[in-house]
Amino acid sequence: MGRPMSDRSRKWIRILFAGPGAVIIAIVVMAGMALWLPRGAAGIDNLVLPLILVPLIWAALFFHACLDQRLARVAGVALVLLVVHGGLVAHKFLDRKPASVEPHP
Amino acid sequence: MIHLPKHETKLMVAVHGWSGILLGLLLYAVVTTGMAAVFAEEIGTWSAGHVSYQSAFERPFADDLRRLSAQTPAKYHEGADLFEMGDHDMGVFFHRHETEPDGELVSRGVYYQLGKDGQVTDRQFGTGEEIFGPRNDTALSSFLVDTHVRLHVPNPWGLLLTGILGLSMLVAAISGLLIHRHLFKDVFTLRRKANPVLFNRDRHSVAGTWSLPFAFILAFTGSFFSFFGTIGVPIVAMAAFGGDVQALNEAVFGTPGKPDPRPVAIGNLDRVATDSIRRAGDVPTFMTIENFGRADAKVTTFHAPTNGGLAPVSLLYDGAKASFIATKPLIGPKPSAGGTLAAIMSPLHFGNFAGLLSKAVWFGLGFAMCYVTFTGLKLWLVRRAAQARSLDWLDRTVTIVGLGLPFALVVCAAAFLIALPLGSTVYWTPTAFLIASTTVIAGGFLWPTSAGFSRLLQLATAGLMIALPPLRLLTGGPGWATALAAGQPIIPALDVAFLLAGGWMIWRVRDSRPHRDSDTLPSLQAAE
Amino acid sequence: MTILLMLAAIAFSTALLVLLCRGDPKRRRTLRQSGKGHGPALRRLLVALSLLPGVGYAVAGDAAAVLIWFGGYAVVGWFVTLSAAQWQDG
Repeated sequence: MGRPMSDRSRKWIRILFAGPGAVIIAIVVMAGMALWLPRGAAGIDNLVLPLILVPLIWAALFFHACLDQRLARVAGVALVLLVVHGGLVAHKFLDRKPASVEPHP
Repeated sequence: MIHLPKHETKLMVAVHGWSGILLGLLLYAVVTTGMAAVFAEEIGTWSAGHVSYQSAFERPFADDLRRLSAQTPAKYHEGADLFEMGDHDMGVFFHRHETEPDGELVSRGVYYQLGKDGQVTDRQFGTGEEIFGPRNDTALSSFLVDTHVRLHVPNPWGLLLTGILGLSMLVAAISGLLIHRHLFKDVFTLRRKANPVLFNRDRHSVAGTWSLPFAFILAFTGSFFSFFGTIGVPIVAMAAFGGDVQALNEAVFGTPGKPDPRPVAIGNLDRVATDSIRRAGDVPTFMTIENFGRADAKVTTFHAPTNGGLAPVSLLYDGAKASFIATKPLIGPKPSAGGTLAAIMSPLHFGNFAGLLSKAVWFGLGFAMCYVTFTGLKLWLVRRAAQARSLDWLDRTVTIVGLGLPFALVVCAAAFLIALPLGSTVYWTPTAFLIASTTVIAGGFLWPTSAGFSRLLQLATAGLMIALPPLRLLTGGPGWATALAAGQPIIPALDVAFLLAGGWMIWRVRDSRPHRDSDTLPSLQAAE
Repeated sequence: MTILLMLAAIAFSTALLVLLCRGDPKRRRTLRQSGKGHGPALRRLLVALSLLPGVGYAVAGDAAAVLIWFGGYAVVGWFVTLSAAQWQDG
């Protein structure tokens, strides 16, 4: 343990985060954002903004995974985003009380 | 500009190059047809020879609509969409929202098309998608738009594909910015007499630099449109409404108000149309009626943006009383940051917010995108030309797609014009494209040199462009005098544009004739 | 925004872009033209002037005009560079 990772495995971890990782996390963040973003003046910002921002979220994750020299930070940021947003969505689904479903306007 | 460390720069160069070379040819097809699709409406008018100028919304249609509603089963009165079809005829689609067995949300109902005398010229039953396919007079513009939007791949895969292409363009734009150390210093430097690598690098990076902000905007908004319905809406609906897409649509696009299903005859829609024209300063591009024939009927009219605005304008009316309620944001019941942002995505992508002027600028930017993609591919090849002779097939493929696609599109237009009077454009437009593409692909690989074939293709495209206006006249299209007298300057304007574009291409090909052909690989130049 | 005013705005920026292109030091160096081209102060001034119509439209709050002008600026800048390269070859 504590042995530094080989360049090869570092490279593969980076590819994992820049490739499939960025796609999955962007989608999960989009879903989770709808639950915490303020609803705004018309009550739709939380629904519309994630839809608009998802290409940019993906691009940010992709370039971060490529360019951040500290691999731990790449993994940290990505996994925190994934856990927080995935957790929000999971919480919503596990919490099956009818009150948790947004009332239809 | 931005100075990345050496290793990161190298990585970005690789990301830029490979994102381009793997998806560049498909991306080129999307941007080329997108550039042409900026003028889809005008191309529709030009190709079908439409000379009416008066909008269907400026003629009385309220009584016809009442008559049609009586003939339509009441269950399809949930919504009625009104829009112009063909040569300023009125299209009416009575429909309701249904969920298909596979979970897809569709609108199904009865579509009527009304001629200028109010008589029904077409009646169809089906879903929106079935009804609004290409028609004899729209086959050419439909073909362009369908290629741009989904490369003719069935839903949802086509949209996902173009969405991925949008993302790869976004990656290319950002990585391009990151790897270019002298972004502003090099912005006027084009070394035409330099070696092929420098020559291609200059023309790629100069065009790329000037159009960079717009490459970013077009890629971002394009991928938004592709992913919006295919991935975005289902997932956000899943998160916020437990998967109920209809509820999401209702929250975002719906008109709030208490349901009141009492039957009340629809008010005078002619009055609504006239009032909306007065308020918005322009005819509606679209009118939609919710709960037709009920006490809570709501009419929304959509109009092009007014001076200075980007987002289209929409006005809300009480349907039963035909009275104005309020100016309404395009998205959401009240003005909001999210609604405004969502509403400007389409003008930012299509450039359709200020008539022909903004469209012309967006066409120019589209041309820059095509040029950047094509020269990028060329640069990638030229850089590797010295090492690997075996890339000849790729060089030929780039020529085939890069110059063959515009050629095939012009062939499409010619085939459309010939087939229009025969009523068979829906078949011949895509068929002609396939025939032209097959010919180009075969020719591209069999012709002795890639450079020679490229010259031939350019001359053929130019010749066909020049032939289009006379062909249009020969096949019964309206002449300039007729078009101008009817107040339709688009037709002569596009004729002139084709003649000029063809002439310019011939001049360019002739100009590049002496010994040094810019578009050849050094190995091929050496052989000449 | 009127069309004529917009065309005038784009024409104004075009004229300055032509000047900037002609005096561009890097371009002159690669062409081995005599003279050193513009100094940095002059170039900054010309760039600022060329951006003036866009700033004007932005101050007036005309978003559509800003976008059209900026799009036009990008296309024109590219075309100016292309034509300069065409002419210098004769």
